[in-house]
Amino acid sequence: MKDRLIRYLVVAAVVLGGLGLFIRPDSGVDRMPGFYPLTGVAIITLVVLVVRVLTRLIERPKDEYDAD
Amino acid sequence: MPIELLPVGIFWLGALLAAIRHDSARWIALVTPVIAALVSVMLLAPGVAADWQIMNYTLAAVRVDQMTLVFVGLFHLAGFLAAIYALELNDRIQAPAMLAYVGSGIGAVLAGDLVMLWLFWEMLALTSVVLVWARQTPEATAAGIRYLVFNVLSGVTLLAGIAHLGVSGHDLALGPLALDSPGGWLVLAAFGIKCGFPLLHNWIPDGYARASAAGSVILVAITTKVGVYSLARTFAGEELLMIVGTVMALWPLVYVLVEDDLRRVLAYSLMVQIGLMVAGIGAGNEIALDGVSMHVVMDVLFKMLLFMALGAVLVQAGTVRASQLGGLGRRMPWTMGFVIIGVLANSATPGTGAFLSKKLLLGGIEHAGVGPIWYALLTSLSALGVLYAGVRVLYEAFLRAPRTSFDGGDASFPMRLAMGIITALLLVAGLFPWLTDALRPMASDYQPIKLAKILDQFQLLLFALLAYVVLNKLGLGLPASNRRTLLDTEWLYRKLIPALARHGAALLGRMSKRIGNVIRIADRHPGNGHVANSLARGSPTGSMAFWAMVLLAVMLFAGIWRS
Repeated sequence: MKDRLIRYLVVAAVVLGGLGLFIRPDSGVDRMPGFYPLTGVAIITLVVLVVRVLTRLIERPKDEYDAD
Repeated sequence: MPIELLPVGIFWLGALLAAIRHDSARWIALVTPVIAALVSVMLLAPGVAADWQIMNYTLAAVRVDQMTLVFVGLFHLAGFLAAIYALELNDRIQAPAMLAYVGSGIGAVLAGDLVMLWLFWEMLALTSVVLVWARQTPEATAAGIRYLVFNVLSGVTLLAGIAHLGVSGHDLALGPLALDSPGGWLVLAAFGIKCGFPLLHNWIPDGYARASAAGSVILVAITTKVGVYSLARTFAGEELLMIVGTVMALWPLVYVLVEDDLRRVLAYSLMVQIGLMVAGIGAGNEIALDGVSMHVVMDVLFKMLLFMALGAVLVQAGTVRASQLGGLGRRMPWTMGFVIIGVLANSATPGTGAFLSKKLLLGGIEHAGVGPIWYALLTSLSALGVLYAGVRVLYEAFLRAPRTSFDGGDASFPMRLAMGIITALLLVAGLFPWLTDALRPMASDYQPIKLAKILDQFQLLLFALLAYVVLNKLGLGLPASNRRTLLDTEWLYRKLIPALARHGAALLGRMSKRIGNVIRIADRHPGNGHVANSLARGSPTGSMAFWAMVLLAVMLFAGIWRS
C-alpha cells in the first residue's frame, strides 16, 4: 500500500514539477523554478527530524499535568 | 447608550432571556444572532459613528468602516453557527454565556476608542471563561481559572497602557499607535496576550482543549480575532510584528505534530494561523491587511469546522486523544467528510476559500520585501498543514485501525447541519472568489487566483506529502501517538510557581514559628492565654483600621504634593 502510494505520488510530482518549469509567476521571490517543491521537501524533512529530537527533550512523565 | 450599539444590546438581552427561560435557551440562542444581524444591517454602514456621553467624558462608542463590518458580520455568523451546533444541548449555562460573549466581541470591534475597547475586552474575558467552566470537570475548572488570569492580566495591562497614554496627552482613539512610550508597549502587550504571542500563549491550548464541545467552537471564533483586529487597527506596519508573527507561526509546530490531545493540536495550529496574520499586520500594506481580514474569516470557518468535528467525536467517543481513537471513519462518515474539507482548507488547498486568503496574505508579506528564505518559511506552513491537520486529525481519528471499541454513531443532525453550512461556505468562497470581494476592506487590486499560483500550491502540498511518506517508510516519520504530556511554558505557572509558593509558605511558616519562639522567650509569655505585657497583646480591629487610614492619608498627601 505504502509503495503504491509512493509510486502515485512520484508520478504526480514529476507531472506537476514538469508543468511548474513552464508555468511560473511573473514576479516575486517564488518565480525561481523549483521554489515550491524544494520548500515542501526541505521543510517537511527538517521539521519532522527536529520534532523527533525535541519530543524526547520536552516530553514529561505521564500524569505530570492534570491531563484529562 | 447610542442606538448603534443595539446589536450588542440584543445579544445581552438574549443572554438574559436565555438565563431566565432555560427551557427555551437554545432557541433564543439561535434566533438572537439573526435578529441582531438584521438590526446591524439597518444601523451599521461604513462611516457610521456614535459617541456616548458619560458624565463629562465623551466615549467614541461606535466607529464603523469596512474592516469593522467584516468582523461584525463574522461574529454574527459564528454565533449563529455555534447555536445551530449546540441545538441539541439543553444547557442553562452555555447558551447565555455564548450570547453575552458574542455580543461583547461585536462591541469590541465596534469600539472607536481604547476605553470602549477595554470595557468590552473585560466582558469578553468574563463571559468566555464560563464556556471553559461549562464542561464541569475539575480540569476544566482549573484551566478556566488560568484562562481568566491571563485574560484579566491582558485587561489590566491594557488599562495601564490607556492610563499612561491618557496622562501623556495621547489621543485615545482606536487608531495607529507608536512604540515610543511605555503606554504604547503596554497596549501592545495586552493585545499580544489576546493574540497568543510566544510565551503569552498558553491559555489558548490550555483553555480551548478543556472547554465544552460547543464552548470551544465559539471560543476559537472571537477572542483571538478581537486581538488580531485591535492589532491591525493600532500597529499595522510595525516591523517588529513581522518577526513576532513568524516566530509565532513556526514554534507551536512541535506541539502540533506530537501532542496527543487533538483539540490541543487544533489550538496550537490556531496559533500558527494567527502568527501568519500578525506577520501580515507587521507588513502593513493594503494587500496584507486585506489578506488578514479575509484570512481571519476563513480561519474562523475552518477552525470552527474542525473543532465542531472533534466536539462530535468527544460526544460520541468520549475522548479526543489520538492514542485512544481510530477507525471512526466507518462510524462517522459525515463527520469524516467534513473533516476532509476542513483539512484541505487548513492546508490552503486550491478550491477552498483559505487558498485565496492565504495567497492574498502571503502576497502582502512578499510586497513588504521579505527575503526568499523568510517567504519560504511562511509559505511552507501550508505544507505543514497537511501534516498537522491531515495526518494528526484525519488519519489518527478516522482512518487508522481502531485502538479501542466504540459503539457510538455519527454526529447529531444539528451538528452535521452546522458543519455542512461551513463546508459549503468554504467551497463557495474557493470556487467563486469574486463573492469574497467584500472581505477585502482595503480594496487592493492584487489577484491571488492565477494558474501559476494554483500550480505552485499543488506542488508544495504534493512534494511535502511525498517527502513525509518517504520519511515514514524509512522509519523517520513523526513519533507514534501515545498518552504523553509535553513541556510548554505553562509548566512555569502550573508547576514551578505553585511549587515555589508551597515551599515559600512552608519557609515562612517555619520562620514565623521561630520568631514567635524568640518573642515568647524575650517576653516571658506565661502561656495559657494570659497576657504578660504589651508585646503579647493582640491588636484590636479598630486600631488596624485607624493605622490603615493614616497610611492611606499619608500616601494621598504624598501624591498631591508630588503632582
